[in-house]
Amino acid sequence: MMICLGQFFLWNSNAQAITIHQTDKSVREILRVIEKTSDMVFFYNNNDVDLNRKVTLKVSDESIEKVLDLLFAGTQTTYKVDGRQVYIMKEKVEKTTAQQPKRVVQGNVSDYDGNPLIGVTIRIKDTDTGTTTDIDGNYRLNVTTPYDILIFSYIGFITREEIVRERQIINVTLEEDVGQLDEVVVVGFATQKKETITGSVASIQTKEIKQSPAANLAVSLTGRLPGLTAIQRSGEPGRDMTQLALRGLGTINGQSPIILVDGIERSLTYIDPNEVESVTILKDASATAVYGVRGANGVILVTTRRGTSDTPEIGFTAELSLQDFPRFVKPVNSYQHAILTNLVLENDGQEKRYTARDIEMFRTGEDPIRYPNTNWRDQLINDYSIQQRYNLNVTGKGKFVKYFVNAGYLNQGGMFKVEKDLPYDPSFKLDRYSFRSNIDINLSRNLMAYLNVAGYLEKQNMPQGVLHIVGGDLNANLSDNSPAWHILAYMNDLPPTLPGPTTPDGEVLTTQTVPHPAFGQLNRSGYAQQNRNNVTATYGMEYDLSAVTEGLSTKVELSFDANSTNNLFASRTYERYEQIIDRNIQDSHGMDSLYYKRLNDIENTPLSIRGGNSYSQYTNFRGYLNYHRKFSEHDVTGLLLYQQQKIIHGQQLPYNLEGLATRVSYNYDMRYFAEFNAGYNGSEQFAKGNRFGFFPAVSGAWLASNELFLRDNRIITHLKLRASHGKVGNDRIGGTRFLYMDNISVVPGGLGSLGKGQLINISLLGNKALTWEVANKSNLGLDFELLHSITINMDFFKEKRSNILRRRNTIPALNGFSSGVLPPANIGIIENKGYEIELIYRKSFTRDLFFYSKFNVNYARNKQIFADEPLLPEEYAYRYRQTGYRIGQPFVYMVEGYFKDEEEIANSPVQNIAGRPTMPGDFKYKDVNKDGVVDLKDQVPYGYSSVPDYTFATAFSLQYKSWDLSLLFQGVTHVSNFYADRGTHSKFFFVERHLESWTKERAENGYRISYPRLTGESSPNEILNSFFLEDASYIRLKNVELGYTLPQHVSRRIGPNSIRVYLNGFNLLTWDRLSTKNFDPEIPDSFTYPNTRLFNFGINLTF
Amino acid sequence: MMKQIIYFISTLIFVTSCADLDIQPDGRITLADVFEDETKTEAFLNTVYTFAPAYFWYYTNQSMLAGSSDEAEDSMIGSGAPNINARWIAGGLTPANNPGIDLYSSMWRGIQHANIFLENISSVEFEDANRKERLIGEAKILRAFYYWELVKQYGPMPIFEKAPDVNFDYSSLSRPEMQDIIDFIVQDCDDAITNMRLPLRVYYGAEAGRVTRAVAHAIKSQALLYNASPLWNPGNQTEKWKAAADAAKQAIETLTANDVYKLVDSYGAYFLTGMDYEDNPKDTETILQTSGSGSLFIANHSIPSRPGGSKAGVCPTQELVDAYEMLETGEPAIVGYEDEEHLIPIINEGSGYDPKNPYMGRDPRFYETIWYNGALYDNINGNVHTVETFIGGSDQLLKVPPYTRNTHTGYYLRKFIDPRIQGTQASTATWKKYRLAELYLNLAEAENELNGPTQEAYSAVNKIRERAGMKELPGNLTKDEMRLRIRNERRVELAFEEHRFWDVRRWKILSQTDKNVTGVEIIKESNNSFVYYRFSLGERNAWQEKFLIFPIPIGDVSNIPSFNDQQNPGW
Repeated sequence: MMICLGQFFLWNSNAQAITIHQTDKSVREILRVIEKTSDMVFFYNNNDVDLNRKVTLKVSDESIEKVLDLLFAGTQTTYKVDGRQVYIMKEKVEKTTAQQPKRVVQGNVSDYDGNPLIGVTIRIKDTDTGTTTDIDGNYRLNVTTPYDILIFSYIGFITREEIVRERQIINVTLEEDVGQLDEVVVVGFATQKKETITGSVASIQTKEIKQSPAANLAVSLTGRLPGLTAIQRSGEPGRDMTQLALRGLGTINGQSPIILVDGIERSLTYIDPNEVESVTILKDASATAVYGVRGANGVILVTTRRGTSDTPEIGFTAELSLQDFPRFVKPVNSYQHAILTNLVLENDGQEKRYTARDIEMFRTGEDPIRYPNTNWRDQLINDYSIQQRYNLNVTGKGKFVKYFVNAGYLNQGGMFKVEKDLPYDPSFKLDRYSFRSNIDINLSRNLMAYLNVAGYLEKQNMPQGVLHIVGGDLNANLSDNSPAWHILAYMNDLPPTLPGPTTPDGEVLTTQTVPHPAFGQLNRSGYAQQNRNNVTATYGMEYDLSAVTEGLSTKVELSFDANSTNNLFASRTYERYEQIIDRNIQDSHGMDSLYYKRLNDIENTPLSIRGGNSYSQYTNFRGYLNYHRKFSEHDVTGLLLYQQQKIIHGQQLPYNLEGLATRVSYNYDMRYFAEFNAGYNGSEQFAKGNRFGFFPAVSGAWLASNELFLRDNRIITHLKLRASHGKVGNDRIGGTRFLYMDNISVVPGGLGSLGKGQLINISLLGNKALTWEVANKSNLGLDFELLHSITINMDFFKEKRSNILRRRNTIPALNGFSSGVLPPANIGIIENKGYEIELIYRKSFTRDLFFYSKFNVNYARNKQIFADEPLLPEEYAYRYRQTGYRIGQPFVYMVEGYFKDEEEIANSPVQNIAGRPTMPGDFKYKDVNKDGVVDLKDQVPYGYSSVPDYTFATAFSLQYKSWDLSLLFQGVTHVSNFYADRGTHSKFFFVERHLESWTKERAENGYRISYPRLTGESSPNEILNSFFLEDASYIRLKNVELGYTLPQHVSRRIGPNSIRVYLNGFNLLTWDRLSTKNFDPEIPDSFTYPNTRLFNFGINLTF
Repeated sequence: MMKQIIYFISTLIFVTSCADLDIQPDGRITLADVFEDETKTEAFLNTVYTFAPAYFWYYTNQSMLAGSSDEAEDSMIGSGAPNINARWIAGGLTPANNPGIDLYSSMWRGIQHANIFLENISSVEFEDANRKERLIGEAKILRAFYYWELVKQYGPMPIFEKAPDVNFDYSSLSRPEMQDIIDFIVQDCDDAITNMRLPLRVYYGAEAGRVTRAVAHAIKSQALLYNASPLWNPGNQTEKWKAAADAAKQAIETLTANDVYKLVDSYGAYFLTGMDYEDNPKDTETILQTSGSGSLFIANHSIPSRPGGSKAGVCPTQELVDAYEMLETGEPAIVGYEDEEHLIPIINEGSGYDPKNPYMGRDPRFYETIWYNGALYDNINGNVHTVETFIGGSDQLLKVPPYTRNTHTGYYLRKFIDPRIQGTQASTATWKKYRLAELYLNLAEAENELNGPTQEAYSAVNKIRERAGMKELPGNLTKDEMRLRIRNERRVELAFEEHRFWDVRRWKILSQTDKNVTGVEIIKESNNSFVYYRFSLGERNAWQEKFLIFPIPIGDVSNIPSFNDQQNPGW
């Protein structure tokens, strides 16, 4: 078996010059000493080298070659030095011994990229005969029969068996074992070998992340990590609304996981995927306990790249994408609009607005000025827009320094069409410049330092719209509100029967009921710009304390992030006009006379510039004490960490947190694992005395496949059982700070003659006992691998979140304080349970064809056990609205059908919902409590919440020679969205489904009915009911990537080492169960900037 | 190596003591701090004042409550965003949903804050003991006021003499009898009435807004009148009427002694301004004023011809117009309707009413309250404008919503609106929560119920008519006739002042008045004469028996068992 004696973090300022003075020591010991005192790493096969041979060696400042020559003098052992690595092997391939007639088999072993593998062990099965490959990957071996089976094994690669048959040359390609042994996974405050992990974690690497051309990293994670639900709630450039949930929702307060970039709390959105090494999610208590009071919602760890390549490597990527809106609200044309308008009026017993002639004119379109058919979407939305992304990075490592330097640029265009000749640019768009430099320096044999500096410059541009004019706090406005909302809402309020967007003279056209026409908002209202500058820096030093005791090291890390945001508002007002048609006066052509009239006295003004800025700062200090040592079969690690952090947001008081974290892990012979994790931390959110909490977790694992009885099993190649249990906290308990203190203040106001014109403002009665949420989590995991090609990972979890801070709902209103003033209490209890199952299948069919597929399904279902909710009276069909249900469970009226006539209405329960009398064609709701009246008491828990219970994804990738293809399908189910408002309801404008609304004729003729009776009055139909609460399940073709790598001889001729071109896409196809295709299933409203679809072309050059 | 360790340690020292978990936010005090100091204690009373509703046009979407009664139809009905009146007449009231007249929580907050004040003030030392007495008096008036506004809406409510503490067992609460809670309110009023540290009227502008003994009288009078009315006095007990009559009489005697309060001369002009605080104030009628109209009130209650208007607001109904008597004869013009829909009026033939000229010769208050077709609007851009509500006129009726700027009934609101105010100029009109005229009408009603149409009843109601310029009531009325005339007087005199909404409930005539309302469609003939067609504005849906008393909100019904058992009828 091959052993790698490499140790982390050992540096010598003079690696080549070796000094060693050892007397009568084993070869093994001497090699160890050399490794320790130099940066040399030895690779050898125990069978090839007599490690126990005692030697005496005394050299000073000699080269490694000289030392080894001395060491192995007179033996059959030889070596090869390759940079830091030294391969030690037998000098000659087996000498023939004349026992049986021998056959010689030879060949070459390489990896998929064609690189020879040095030191691969080749053994004849069930014998002791074997050899290793030389520095060119070649081997020679004598076999006895054609039935001999050769076993090729190499660390980090999948072992392969070949039957000799009649062959004399057996060339073998070994496949890298991605999910195996040496894979190192980033965990809380450390890295761990995947094999030794006892908790529940999942991670992905750069390669998969980069298959998505999405501008936002959070979106790229969708479907990639079992247990993570990522919902994209907006497609607007630079406005990231991705909702993240790890293992569903466990609380009603701060629900999202904490996101740590290189260990520091930072945002995911602005990170260039090219600078990411891996993303890891920590799911169970054992993985997150070290985060203590912050770990309950899980943790997402993003690790950026560091220098790895021996030779400096320069990578350049350029991407160009087209984006469009695959789903968008689509209204009817003006002819249909006029007919439907008349239908509404007729249904309401009013006069029709359009005459038969009007309708005919709309139909023929012969007078497009008076009878237009305006497609507002075409006027305001582009068919597609462009996104481009460039990235340049350099990575490398030398003796003293490792470096990774990255620069990126992203330009994401907006979908809204803006006028060409404006003196300013109001378009939606995002420019992002990012750079990063991660440097590791070996200062001496024991001391290393590293510095990560990264910066982001983002410029988000958008039209001014109405929001920013109306609102007060400028900074709050831009982060919370998008101008797209009002543009889209008002765009959808303008019927196609109105002309537009401008008069022949270019003035904005609108109508009385639409004060802020979309075209005007988009083009004439000015623009707004947000510049976000972000600098993050982390400096750390690590010191090897082996001098104190072997395996001990310490590290300090200091980080400083500064983020400043500058908002610029350039607003103006603009004139609005209305088209007036006077039917009483005809023009010279006999047409009704037409003129344009100013709608109100709003004037055209020049731009008025205002601005505002905000600042936030984050400092973090950490001190580590690490221990790792192996005592024969006993492997022990230890971690003790002190951390303090301080966050400053604008003018608020700082947010402080300090604490300790510890981890102790032990494994016996890589078979039995035990781990103890704990966090002890406190924050200023709580009263003195209640500030610090202790959060322990224990976990264990059994790696059964390392047991004797399974070690050589050909079917079960990996089998591991994991279990964990622990307690984690959540201190993000709502937006209000200092909830433990009364918030009573003296403020000016009220009557002047009382209390000197002051009021006592009671905003909050404090809850002195306030504390964090506690999550008790258990996890059971099973990992196994069959035949080296099928991997199954399963995790089952159960969580009970208690101490959830909730407003007291059972205190009656007559107590005298509003619920906002009464102290919230740690009373809520929520249970959450579920599972994740991941199946991986990988197979290399030939040297050139490699197939890889992954499937994962996750289920998380929460249930509110205690919500301090009053029990509704007995007449209510369901007496609780939360207790016993999932977070966000909708309660709706159940639609049984449409009322067909007055008689049916008379014979049915009274529908007492909107107050208006029920008419034929209205929904017939179910009288659930059977009291003869349909009202609030008949609401039923129906459907699911807007965060899905099930998420699943499947990915395929295929590599054939220079081609690679990968696909990701992703889906969710058990999710509901309430579709109201524009695009659904008829009171704003009409969409296709309204053409099939209930009318007497349609009902009698048995035509399809897709919508209740249309009405302009408040109706019992357009409310939250089982018709409009739709199943928002979907399956998406989230990503496809097709790549081609030019043959190396071609690319080298041009210059680069490697050239890869690729086409990929994002959100390409969606299958869903919504009743209309007006909406994206992730965005349940009509006024959010819709999600985009991307088609991307990219080229990647490596030098 | 030693050097490296030193570097290491110095780095450590450099970064320590960044985090401090003891952060003290500014400006926070505790309740105990408040009641240690005279000024802060007063400031707390100031807070107790803040729970008074604004009334007037401060309901959802800048609306007046009149649109939820038979006084008016709201012009926002049928438009996209339903305002309070649209939701109300649609029957939107349920235990879980209040269309926007929900005083439940805010009144309880007022009551409990008054309780906290009353509990704590005794221990606070004041330099001026008289001042302390006055503050206690004010707190009691406020407590009575909040209780009464609550009870008027929701019926009897538990009596709290002190605010519940954290350990209070809410499940032990139960609803008292109406008489018990009225007694409690009256007791607070009486405590204030006898508290001579409280002024009868505020003469200093600096003290504007403070409650007075006169307010205590007004609350007591109204509470006792309601308590004697059919809704709360099904057995028609005369002692309840006697208490009401005595309270009104005592109130009038106290208030009008030395002419501290007296009816102002001009009914119309009175509503265009607010209280003044001179030694000899012009406004001698207002007892309690709660809010002002500001700059947007008129814009929200505007005829379309007036620049700067945004909606018509509450449009007076034909029913209200019909309630105005004839000036010449002092007789009602319309005495009822032949049909349920109110389309065929029963004209009082001897009254002098001319259906062809319906706006001629009416009670002067009609012209001060309503803009009608042909009325002269004094000043629009310097010109006198003739209001044109006829079809095709500049202020025309539009029957098809959503034309929020045009009348839905054929009329516009004039009361509170100064026609000289241009554009978005601010209006000085204020909300008169209590005024002297109400006390006369309270007296007339209670006296008539107690003793029949006595001289006392006559003189009280005639006092109001006299100021309006109307003839005295004929002397030969029966008790029932008198009752109708007093109720009509109340309807006309207090139109748009949030009395009608509650009066029809306490009289239990909601099902007659609120089922539907009508408007008038006026067609201009070629000879410039007008033809008037009454039309129905459609059925309303908030007239059933259960709408007499509001349902207790579902939250408290769920949390307090007896509230569930004793929920108001029909809910």
